[in-house]
Amino acid sequence: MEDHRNHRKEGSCHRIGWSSAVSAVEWPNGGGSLMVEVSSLSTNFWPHNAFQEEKAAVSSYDRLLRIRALRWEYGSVLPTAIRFHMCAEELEWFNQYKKSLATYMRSLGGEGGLDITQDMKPPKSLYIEHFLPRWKCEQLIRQGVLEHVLS
Amino acid sequence: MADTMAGFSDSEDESQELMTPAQLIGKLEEAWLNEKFAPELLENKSEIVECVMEQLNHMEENLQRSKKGDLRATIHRMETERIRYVLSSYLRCRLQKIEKYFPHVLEKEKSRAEGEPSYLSPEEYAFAKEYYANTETFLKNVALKNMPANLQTVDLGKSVPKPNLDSFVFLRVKERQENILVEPETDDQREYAVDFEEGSQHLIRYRTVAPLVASGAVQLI
Repeated sequence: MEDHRNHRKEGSCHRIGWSSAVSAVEWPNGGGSLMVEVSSLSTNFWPHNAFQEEKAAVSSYDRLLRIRALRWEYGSVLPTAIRFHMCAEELEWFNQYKKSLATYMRSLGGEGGLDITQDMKPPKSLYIEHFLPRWKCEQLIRQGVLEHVLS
Repeated sequence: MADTMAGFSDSEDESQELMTPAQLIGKLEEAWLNEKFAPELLENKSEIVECVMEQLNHMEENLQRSKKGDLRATIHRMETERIRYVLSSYLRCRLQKIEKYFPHVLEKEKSRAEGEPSYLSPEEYAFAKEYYANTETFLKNVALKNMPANLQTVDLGKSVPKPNLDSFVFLRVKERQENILVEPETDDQREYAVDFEEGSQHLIRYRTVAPLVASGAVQLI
């Protein structure tokens, strides 16, 4: 598989998408794969007709939707390995998005706001190990910092 | 729950109708289900959101003061978690629709007549505008920058699909309705009218009953 890092330049998000071989990245918890699009054409391919341009725009937008999903899956700090697969524009979009989301969540209710990226599942059991309430460590479990031990 | 919430006091102003906490949570659950099953973004229910948040804060305060290990405290905490889940799920649902249909949501808000109820809360409106600007900037910089042909602007209003108002929804009738006009499905059929009896349940295209959902005459299930 070609090392696409060498092709990475300023603002070359488009180039990464089209000139590399497939690099599928699977993350733990099945949390969505950020795939680089496969191109059946040679390196340094440049879309030069309307259909290819539309395909490029669609694949960019599709990546955006998956990056959006990362905020809800991983929280506001993305793992380094994921960030590596994002270009500068996508990182900028992500930063703006999480800022907007934070502003919105802070505005909910009178004081302090509400973190709606928590409580993603209806509560079934109340405590974990009887000493750490679930509502305190949900995010940490998802990030892999804590582990839910069943005894 | 209402009788155990002795400390709860309605701090809404006189102009709004007073509700018991149970009624408030009931209204939240209705709004939540409607929002979940409706294909389009519904009217915002900021008053309900604010009141529920107030109630949650109040319950949290009570729990801080209560004895640890008290059975009632455990039950109250479970209730707090339930309510927080429903509220978060409701707000997430709305945010997802705002993001999914962002050009149309903004267009609808801009062309709203004076006095008509707003679909977006002020905070949701700010969020939607930022989302639009952010996404437009991205598409311009990434998808269009390197293209030789002159794709001047991406018309997001045309590229982003609109919600499908013809999708089918299940509903339960809360207030009796007469002569609901049902559109024909095939060429052989003709349109006909049905009466919605109170308590009856139906499967029907959302478009036909959209105003009834908004008015509260039917509940999506």
